[in-house]
Amino acid sequence: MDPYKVLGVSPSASEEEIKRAYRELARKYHPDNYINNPLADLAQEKMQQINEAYDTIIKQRQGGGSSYSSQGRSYHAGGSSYGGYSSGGYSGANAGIYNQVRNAINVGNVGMAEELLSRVTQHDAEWHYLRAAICYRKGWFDEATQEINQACAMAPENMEYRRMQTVLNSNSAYGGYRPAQQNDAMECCAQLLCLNCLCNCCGNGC
Amino acid sequence: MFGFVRPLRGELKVREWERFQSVYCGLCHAIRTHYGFFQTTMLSYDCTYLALVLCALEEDGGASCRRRCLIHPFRRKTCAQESAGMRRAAAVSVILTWHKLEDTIADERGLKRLGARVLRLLLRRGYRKAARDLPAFDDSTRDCLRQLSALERQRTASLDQPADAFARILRAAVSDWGADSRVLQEMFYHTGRWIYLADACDDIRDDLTSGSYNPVALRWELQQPELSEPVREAMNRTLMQSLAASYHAYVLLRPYRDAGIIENILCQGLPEVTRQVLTGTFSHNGGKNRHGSL
Repeated sequence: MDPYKVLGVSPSASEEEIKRAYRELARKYHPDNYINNPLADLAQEKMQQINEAYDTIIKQRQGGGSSYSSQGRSYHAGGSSYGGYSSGGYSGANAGIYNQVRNAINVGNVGMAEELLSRVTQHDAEWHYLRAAICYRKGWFDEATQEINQACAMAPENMEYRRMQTVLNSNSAYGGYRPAQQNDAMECCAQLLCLNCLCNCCGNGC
Repeated sequence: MFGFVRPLRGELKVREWERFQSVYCGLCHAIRTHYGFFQTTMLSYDCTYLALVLCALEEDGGASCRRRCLIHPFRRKTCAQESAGMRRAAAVSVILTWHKLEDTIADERGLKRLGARVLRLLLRRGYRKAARDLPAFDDSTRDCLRQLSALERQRTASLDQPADAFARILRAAVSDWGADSRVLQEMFYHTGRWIYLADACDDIRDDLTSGSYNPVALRWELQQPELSEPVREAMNRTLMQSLAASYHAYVLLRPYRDAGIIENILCQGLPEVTRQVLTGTFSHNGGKNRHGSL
């Protein structure tokens, strides 16, 4: 496929434009946006395509020299460390089943993960965490938030739980999605203007 | 459906707004051609969005023609040409309308119920044809709505459970849509969750007065229709998370056209409606005296 088409730029684009287009796309398809997402594999494919397209263009432009080593781009594909629920060093009665649940989530078999988890009768922090992971993957964000808060309350020092809690309770971080809740910004501006007026009034008064 | 899915008009280019209108008109004509005139009275923006997305994925689509209709008898309006995507959206719209009507008949009393019965009589033929065209979707819609009304009867104090039952309907609408169906299912599942919850937020006042089921009111144990700041923030978060998930699915598609309009809807239109339903300033008619129609 034409690498310029992949990046959505014309073959006459400057290097700066190409870099900007690449960065824009990489922000969209970054693996961080697809953590525990059923479409993560498709996003990774996309990421690989744009990485390859970018490398090809840069190489072509440098006259096919072998000095180029993809250092120009800031994102790298193939990082498999993303989103995986690596089986933690479990001990205790439910260690086996928790490992199975994590594996089921990792391969995307949410039904099985749910089934397995429902067999555990004693609900400890890890149970709530895994339940949160399952809910998150299904798009049940409210329940996921409740479960992760519960897990964090029961095990406040666990960093893995904390990370997920931060993601779910953040008011602005939606990955590559940047919504414009327009009038909020407008209100903010209006408030600033009003404040400004007040200040001016005071200033004049003095 | 409900008419919550709409672009933010001020941020659209003029030609994009015209294209959106032409998809709406095209969908209306498609519904009339295949399912009869009466069905067109129930058309909403939500199905226009479905038509817009499905048509954007067709390589040889995007053509338009100029046609008259009952609402615009003198001036021909530009209509998007009928295509497979348009027909799918038409059938989906007709089937959803029918089941929503059945719901109204089951839930309401008095005049409203009588009105719905009359309307049902007029819509029956068109619905039967649509159900023949998309039998699997008709079945899953009925199943999901049955589950939804069971959850309502139990007064389930959960946002996700009833929203899931509704969202699965929209997922079913695109479940067999070729190579893109995996992404589309995800995209429309999250859109469906958002629609259901946005509708619930918008209905809090009415439901509290009438004592009807409202998942948002039950989840937060509301006594007053006004949302307190922490509740509003939590609702905003959960709604925006659905939109983000829908967007992350959408960007994996390769639309041939209309990407600007779809992105406007996802990144501006729906966040704006979210803000409006949470502050109680949402108006169904877009400020005009017409129900979700242009």
